[in-house]
Amino acid sequence: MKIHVKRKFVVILFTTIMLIGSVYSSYAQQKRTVNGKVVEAVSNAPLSGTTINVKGTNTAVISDANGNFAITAASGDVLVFYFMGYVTQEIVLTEQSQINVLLVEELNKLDDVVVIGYGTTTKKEVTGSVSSINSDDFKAGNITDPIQLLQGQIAGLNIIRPDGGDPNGSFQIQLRGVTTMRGGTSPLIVIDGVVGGDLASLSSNEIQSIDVLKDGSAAAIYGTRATNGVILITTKKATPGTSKLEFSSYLAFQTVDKKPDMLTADEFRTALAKYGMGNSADHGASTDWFDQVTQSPLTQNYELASSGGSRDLSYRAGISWTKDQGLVKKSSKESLRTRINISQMLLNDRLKLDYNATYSTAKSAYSDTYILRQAMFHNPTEPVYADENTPAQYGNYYYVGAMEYYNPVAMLEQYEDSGLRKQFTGSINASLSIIDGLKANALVSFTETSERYGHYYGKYYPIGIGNDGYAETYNNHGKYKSLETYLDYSKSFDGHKIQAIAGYSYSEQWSESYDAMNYKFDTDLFSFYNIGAGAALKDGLATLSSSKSSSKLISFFGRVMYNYQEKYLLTASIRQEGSSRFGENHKWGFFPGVSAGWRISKESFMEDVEWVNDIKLRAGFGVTGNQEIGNYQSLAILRKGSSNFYYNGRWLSTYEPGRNPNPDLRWEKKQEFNIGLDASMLNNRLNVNFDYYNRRTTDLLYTYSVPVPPNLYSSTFANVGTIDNSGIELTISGTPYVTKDFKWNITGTISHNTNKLVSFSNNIYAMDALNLGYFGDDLKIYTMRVEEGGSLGNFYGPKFLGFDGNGGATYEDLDGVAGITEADYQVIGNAYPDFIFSLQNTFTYKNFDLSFLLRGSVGNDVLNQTRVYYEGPGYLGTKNILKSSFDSDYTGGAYYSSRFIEDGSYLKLDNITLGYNFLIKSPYISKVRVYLTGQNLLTITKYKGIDPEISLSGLQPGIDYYDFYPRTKTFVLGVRVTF
Amino acid sequence: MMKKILISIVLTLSIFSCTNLDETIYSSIPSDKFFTTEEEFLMSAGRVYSHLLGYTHYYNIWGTITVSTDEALSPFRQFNQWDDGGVWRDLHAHTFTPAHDNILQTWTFLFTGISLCNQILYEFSQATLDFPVKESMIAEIKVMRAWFYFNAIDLFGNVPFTTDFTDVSLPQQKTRAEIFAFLEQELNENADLLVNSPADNYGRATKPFAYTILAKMYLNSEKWFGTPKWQETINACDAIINLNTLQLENDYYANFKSNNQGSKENIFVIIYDKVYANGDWSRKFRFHQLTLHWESVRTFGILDETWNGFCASQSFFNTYDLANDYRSQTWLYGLQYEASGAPLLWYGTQVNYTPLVNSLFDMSNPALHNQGVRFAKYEYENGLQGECMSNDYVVYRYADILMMKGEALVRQGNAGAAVPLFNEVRNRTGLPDYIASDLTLDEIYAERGREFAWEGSRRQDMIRFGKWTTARDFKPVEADNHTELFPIPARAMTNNGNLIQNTGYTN
Repeated sequence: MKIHVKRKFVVILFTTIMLIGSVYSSYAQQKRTVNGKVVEAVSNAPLSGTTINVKGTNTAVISDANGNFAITAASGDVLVFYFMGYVTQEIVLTEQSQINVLLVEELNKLDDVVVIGYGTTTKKEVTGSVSSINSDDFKAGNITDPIQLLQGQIAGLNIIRPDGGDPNGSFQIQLRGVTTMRGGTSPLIVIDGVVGGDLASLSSNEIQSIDVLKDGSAAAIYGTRATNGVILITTKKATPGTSKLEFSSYLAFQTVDKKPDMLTADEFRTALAKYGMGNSADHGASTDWFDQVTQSPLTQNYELASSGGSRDLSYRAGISWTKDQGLVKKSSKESLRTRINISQMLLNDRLKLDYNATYSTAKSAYSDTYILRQAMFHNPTEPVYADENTPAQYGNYYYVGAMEYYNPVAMLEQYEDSGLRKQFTGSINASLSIIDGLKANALVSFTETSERYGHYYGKYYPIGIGNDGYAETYNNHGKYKSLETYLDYSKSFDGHKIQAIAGYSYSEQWSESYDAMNYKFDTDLFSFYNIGAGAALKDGLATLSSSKSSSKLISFFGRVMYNYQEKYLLTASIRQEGSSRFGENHKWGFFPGVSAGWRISKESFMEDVEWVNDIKLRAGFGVTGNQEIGNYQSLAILRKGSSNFYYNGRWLSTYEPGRNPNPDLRWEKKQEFNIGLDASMLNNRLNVNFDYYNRRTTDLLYTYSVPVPPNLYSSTFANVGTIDNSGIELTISGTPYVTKDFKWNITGTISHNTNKLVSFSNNIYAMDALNLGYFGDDLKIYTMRVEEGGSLGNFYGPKFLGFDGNGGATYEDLDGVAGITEADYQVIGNAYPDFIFSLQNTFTYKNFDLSFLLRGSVGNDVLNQTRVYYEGPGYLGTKNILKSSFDSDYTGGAYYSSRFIEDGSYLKLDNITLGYNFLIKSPYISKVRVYLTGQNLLTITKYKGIDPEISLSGLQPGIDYYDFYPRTKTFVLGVRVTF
Repeated sequence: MMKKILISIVLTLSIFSCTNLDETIYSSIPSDKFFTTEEEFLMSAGRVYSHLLGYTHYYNIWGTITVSTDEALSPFRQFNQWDDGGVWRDLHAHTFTPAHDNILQTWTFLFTGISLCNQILYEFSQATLDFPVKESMIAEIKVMRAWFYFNAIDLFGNVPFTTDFTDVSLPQQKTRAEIFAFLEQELNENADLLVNSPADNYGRATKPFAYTILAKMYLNSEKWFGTPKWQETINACDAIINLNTLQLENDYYANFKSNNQGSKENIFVIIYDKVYANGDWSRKFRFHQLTLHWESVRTFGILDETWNGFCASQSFFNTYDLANDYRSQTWLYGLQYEASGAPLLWYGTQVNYTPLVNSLFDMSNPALHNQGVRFAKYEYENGLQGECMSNDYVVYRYADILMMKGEALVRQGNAGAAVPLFNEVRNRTGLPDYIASDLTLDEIYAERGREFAWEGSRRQDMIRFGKWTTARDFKPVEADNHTELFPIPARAMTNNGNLIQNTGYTN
């Protein structure tokens, strides 16, 4: 009880209700206008935008820029003062006509709602490992996908944008290490209860809060889809009784952070002389190929959101338009995202209906990273366009014959690649209060996605000269329907509190696609919009294909949450779930979760420990699955063969089994144990969250090699291996300094994970080691290896000892036999960091605010592919090489070794934002905020390549490929106006 | 109240409870919905032939048995070309191990072929439908299976053996001799069920094909088992000759034209066709890409990119009489020209293919881009595009039958009888006829090399003639002859605990 007493005390301390001139003695029930002012308790600054609602009615107003309001009410009415992030106050109106209210910031967030799936709980009662982030804490900037909001915010959740500054690139999300070899790696997204939503279709402005279910006990309620964690999104809703319009906009400018350090034309000539290459490779020009294919991109964003209505019927509608240009010329993404939410109360408040509809379109012009690679190694002495010597078949582009060497400007200009994606999601949620404490809930949702991709290679596109224009278009239509229904019962008695749910869930998904390819066009003018015009169709060389697939997921679930005096907490859940994708022998899986919490601070022996506000010890265990295995993988099916059979003068089709059938195919199964500690101290100014987890994934899916015969094919998709991950996560947040005008908030996270591949063989399937990280170009070598009992992410190869002074290099010879062979290979690095961390600081001074986010990683090794190939004169002549080639006397060819495994530790200034909130004295505008944000401004690292922050998901992490799309520094100027 | 709750729960759940999880298939065929017509059986059986498209791939059997001989190498070239993780130099210098990728691909190709045949034979055995060609189709599949097994014992010696698709246990390894005996019986039993002329069953198993396999088994019997079977070799060859369905083409290169289906000499071909028989990346006929310099596309009017890799070893090229032997045009050598006759320039200098190759793998002295003579026996079609030549790849041809019979006769000590056989083949080359005293084993070996360059015969020849382990261009003499068998791939050893590795290899 201590906490409650304390908070009430605080409230009383800071809240004064001033009675000024209670002049009139009026009739008790007579309505009158009450004026007042809302101010912030510490700073005394006016709080504009506070909602003041007469309790139990639709009457509500919002305080203006000076915090003033006027509301019609009668004595005896209760006024509710609500401002996000502040303690909500209720005041019973007496005779006074003027009320001044001080609102206190909610430092203590123990009563904050935590979304846990099929219901909510509070921060103090939650027993699993759940992290939450509220829209107040969202960072500003060029946020193209809401997942970006979580970057650097949640310990154990590693979010990377592997495609750098590509506007069409996606994010890679990894929670608590690698838990799969071949299954899906993305967390499950749940938007307002709709399972399996698409986050990119939602503007971050429409999101109220994000909750992440991290551990197995919390995620188990989502069964076969929950292994990679669950991200629960709650969207913004209207505040009843208010009418609000928000407008926001930003402009973002990007510049290249760092580009590959290749030789300039003059240096190239010097190098030709130095390595005795003569001048045959000197074409006489000076071209910066990187500049030729890149631009300075500009991004624009505009958003509008309206909300309003009464308590019985309220709405919120938002529309957002963003046009994002890419660093590579011609690339861009244009997104339109709209959403509407309508809430209605019926049957004397027993029935609540929520309608949600979102519609989004994304129009993309894609860039080809192969262009960047070609630009990187292109000879800087070549001109872009031709002289009279170039054969006519190459257009007017300068042409040099060499293997896999193409004019990047020709590639850029002769190529068009675009996509159009439209998505509609509609849902209706009905919540019916049956009797006191018992609610029935049903959510029906429907999603339709249509995608069209097309690309066209012009006549003079340097790859496939002679195709005479090559067009391809791909259409996909997806449909998803789901029903989530459950009963919710809660009851409190004698210090006991029970909340229980039981439900059923059904979802079905369809996908249809159509693909057409044709070439040999008479003209480039059609692009891919007149695909029948190509001659290859009549020659039998065009291709057409279409396909359809579907899958179903059905489950029964239940959960009981119990606590005694908010001191001893227990949660237990089960989900029995079946997927059509699973093999005949394993259609249904069972996913239990159990967790318990003990709030030590509520014990009597803690009563006198003044500096501790709350301490909770948590422990949980849960089982989750991963069903991202694709459709029809377990079945014995026949498919049409790719080539025909010449039979007595005619060509017959062939039909072949699609794969080795595997009726035992099933989900990957993760069991996770988690213990955690949540503590609030020093008047809630210091908060600590600590978690330790140990997760084991078994039945790992992989394409295992099998003997042929008896099998028909040499590999079978099967559940075999086991991976272990364990780690710790620590989040510390606090308010070190606060005065009337100044406030400093700081949050730091740090996490550490270790992994081990326990096995990938059993009595049927045997695999010794897995070679990964294949470098296909010229070298054709594997750079990584996973062995049973070893770590994932190991680089494997010869160990570089030094240069031999004769232009060569020496490597450690382990087997004593002359020459470096595979017997001399060893583990030469590991891609995973020892720990990753982040530090967020927010300073508020009067109307100014300044925040910055630092993110970093320590101990991760990066394989620098560009250096493997281009540090040294091996390619000089046909291609350009790195400037660092001059750092040694090495004259040999490209050869993989530990020389190119670098320490990729880094510290990044991810985001820095300076904002100012104007106090506007206007009846029309209540709030104006302007801000300036810099993203990715600074990276401190020893890494020699472009950026050490690279993909860490999957089985071949940590390779910095030379197709890398460079990251950019982004400068954002934004404004937000509330009417 | 609990009752009310329970009722609500039951009601809610039962209204919506659908628990059917069957998959609905749209774009493929459930296995039990096929095999209702003759055509459907044929469409399934035809897979054995489309499987063959993988044969010529450089990472598959053709690459393995060709680069491991003196007729082909792919040296590490300047500009970091063709390092490829060392697979080519390991093959060429006989330093391969059980981990070698091409050897694994080769093994997989052969045993997938065997499993495919077993499975097709099983489907036929389950058929209630009767159709006229059923019996001969079964014989065809059995002969194709025999060919896969023949290759398997040739390359790997003792191999896992099964003919029953329903037996899901790991197959036991059988000796080369046991499988030899099985193949002898299987081929003899089924040959007569097949057609006499390859023209009547183009690209498929025929009687001459079955007897060619037998002839090759007998020809190598002495090397394999120490048991000479020269007379059996002659008998098998005669069984083909006496059919009178085959004859030599007047023009040696007629067998290798892009339109070579009219050849009366070819016994068994793998049909490639840019529209109908053009598989995925690993099932294309791409000799042009393997061997030609990237500029040579302008000599032939090829639209594909070529990779400037495979060439012949200098010692092999030197066995040709360049001035007189028509077959020396198998190779492109010397200064190169565009189709128009203009010099073929690369970076301002004319491309000049030289027989000399600097090194097999030396990073500081790599093979130069123009080194090594290039293969041009198969016609490179003007306008060639799509990475797949339309020439049908010749697996066996009639010249081989004549020369195998001739070799057997010589080995029997009857060189006189062999002379007309060798001369029949040699007639079209421009070289003078042999007389009996010319026909030493060394000469037969060299003549076979010139006649069958890059046709997949060289490895057997080198082993049979005792040349496999001797020193050549970039390979020193070998301490023993264990490399005459390839290692069983490491992955196959892991997958099947019944297997014993070949002598001389450690996993």
